[in-house]
Amino acid sequence: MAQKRVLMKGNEVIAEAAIRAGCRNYFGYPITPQTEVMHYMAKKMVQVGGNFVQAESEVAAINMVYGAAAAGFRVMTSSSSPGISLKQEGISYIAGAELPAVVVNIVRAGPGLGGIQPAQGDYFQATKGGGHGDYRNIVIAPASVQELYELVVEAFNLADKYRMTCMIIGDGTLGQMMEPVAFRDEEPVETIEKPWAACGRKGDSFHHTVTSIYIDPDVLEKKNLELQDKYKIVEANEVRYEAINMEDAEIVITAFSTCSRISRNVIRQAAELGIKVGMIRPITLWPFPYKAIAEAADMPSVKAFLDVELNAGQMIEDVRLGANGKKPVYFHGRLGGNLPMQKEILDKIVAIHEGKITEGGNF
Amino acid sequence: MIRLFNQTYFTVASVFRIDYNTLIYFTHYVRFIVLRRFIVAKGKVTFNENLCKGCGLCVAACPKKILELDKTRLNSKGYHPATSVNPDECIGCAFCATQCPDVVITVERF
Amino acid sequence: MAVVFEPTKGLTDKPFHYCPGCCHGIIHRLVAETLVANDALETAVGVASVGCTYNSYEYIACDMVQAAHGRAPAVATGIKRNLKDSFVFTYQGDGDLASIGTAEIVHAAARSENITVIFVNNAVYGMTSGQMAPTTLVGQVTTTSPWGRDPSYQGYPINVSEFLSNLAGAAYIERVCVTDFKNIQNAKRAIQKAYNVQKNKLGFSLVEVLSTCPTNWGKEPLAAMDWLKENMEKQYPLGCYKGADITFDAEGNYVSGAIPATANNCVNVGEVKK
Repeated sequence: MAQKRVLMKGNEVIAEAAIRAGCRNYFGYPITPQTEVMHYMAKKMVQVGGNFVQAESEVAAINMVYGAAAAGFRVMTSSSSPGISLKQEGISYIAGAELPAVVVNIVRAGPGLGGIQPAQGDYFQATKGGGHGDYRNIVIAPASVQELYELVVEAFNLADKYRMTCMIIGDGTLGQMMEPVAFRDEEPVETIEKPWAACGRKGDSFHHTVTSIYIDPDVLEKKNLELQDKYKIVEANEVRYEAINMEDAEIVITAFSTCSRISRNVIRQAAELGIKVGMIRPITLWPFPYKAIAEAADMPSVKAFLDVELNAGQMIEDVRLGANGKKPVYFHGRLGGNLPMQKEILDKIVAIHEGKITEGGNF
Repeated sequence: MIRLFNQTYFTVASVFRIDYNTLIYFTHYVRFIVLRRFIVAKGKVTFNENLCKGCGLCVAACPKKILELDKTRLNSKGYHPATSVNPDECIGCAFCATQCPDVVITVERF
Repeated sequence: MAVVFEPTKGLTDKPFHYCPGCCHGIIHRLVAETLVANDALETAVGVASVGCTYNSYEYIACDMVQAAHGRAPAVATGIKRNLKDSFVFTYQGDGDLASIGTAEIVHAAARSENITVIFVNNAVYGMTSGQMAPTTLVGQVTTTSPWGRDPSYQGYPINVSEFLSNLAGAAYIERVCVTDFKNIQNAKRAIQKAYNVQKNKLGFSLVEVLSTCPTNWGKEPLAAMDWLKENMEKQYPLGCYKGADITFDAEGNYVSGAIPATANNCVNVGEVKK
């Protein structure tokens, strides 16, 4: 299959991937550092005959997403941390109404207005449910522009298949960087029937209603249990991660997205110092690869984990859950939009190798 | 048509030496008060009683004032249901049904 | 014997949960009758909002989507942009539309979304038990204006129809009420006109229906109707605020009248923008 390779910016690839996946609805609002997604859509989405609306707010945008999804159409919105906070109510409604949607978060430093430089401080919000109620989103963390393309296309299929939100977690680095992307001639788009959609009765004996309110506690409990059953199926089938250099690894780095890229080089440098370092890179942050972490914790060669994140320690809690106390989990993080230098991580690896770091606290 | 009627009334009035206006009045009396049952449209209202919430809007809306809330009994919701107390006077205008917020009333007309 | 009035197919069999004398029942029925009269029951999609009518999707027999508080116009935008030939409408109360939903209604009108908004204004929050609304009258007693709405710390009511009529994207805006037969027939005419505006892709339409709230006004249904006539109609005069001169022929096709220059979302813009 002949593949076109194009040098493209991450944010633009997200938009291009959505259109290639058959998405013909984009509703967004400008916010740094993801506005290029919207600029690209303002032109391309209109040119392909789709619907483009610059909404009055991120709140309005997520509700337009809800509407288009309720009517049975593929739809996407994108924003950055403060805007994603605004969308939380809408995302909870989408989960309750069991609608498919793709939401892209190009994370910036917080809390509050924060900064515009890259961060990973929305991990809790994305994976533990930033909105109210018992629900989950599928959360995917690409680590390259090529992965942005492939995983955004996949996100639409997953969203339609499981009738839930698929959230893409990027950050300013990924959104702004330019890398070569190999586009497929044809996308693996799965068309899924949506008999539940509210798009006109069309002769059905009962009208279709899309709602998330069930006043009777017994009914609502039953609905919730159905959601939980669905999430169990997703957990059983959709975990994705990458294991790098894990054979005989002494120290296992856990990192996602941008931090995993930085850590790849550290693995090489540590090898030159004679320290065997491996990495488990979660691609789905939810469902989280607990099993892979547990297996690594069971490996006799593994001495410790080092979790590297652009936050004050969020994914580390899931790593600790997976390790289940079998091996210590240490942490290296940067905040405010700063990225760790490779040397910082390497120094921590050396310190762990020499037994100079003990458990306790994130910093 | 009207000119023909007027011409007829005028002729009859002059032939029988009756005042024209009195003749008109008398004819209308016969038509609208005595014979009205057979000339003015008559209607019939049916109440789906257990939907009624006793709000009384239909009672006020009826131009013939033939509806009342039946204070002697309660429907399954516990309200005094509306009912027609003088069905012969119903003209089938459907003001009651149009005003009813609970789609209780069906209206038929002859 | 001919049936001149019977329950409409546009409503389901479920009995309304609304309070005795509440105008929602009348207004739901008018919307339902309009859907049936225009053969739109199989294709229309309505958006229920949050308030007393949160479950209007159980009563109106076309496809319905329940929206978050205030966001119905945005949800309707997402639907209508994809179903350009289906009648898409929202049904909102005054808290939903004029308080939390102010941005959404203004921008849906400004973008001239080809949707119809049924705005039920009863000057109070119903479902949550009687709080002050953006449309509460000065001096009106509510659970959060216990001495009557005091402008010195609680501001003034918002006249939604007048306010939205200033937007170039609004095609048809009319305020009606349902206090008696004549007004109900007029309200139905307005809803039918809004339907025609949408069908002919003329832009955004809104019908504001003044309504009573007997329970939270603390009045019997008939007394509530009188209060509406004496007080609400002074603050919210009935009439057409935009698009009065829009006319349709007997088949409902647009004949004449001032409309926004382009009904935005009913043209495939992609064909012209390369």
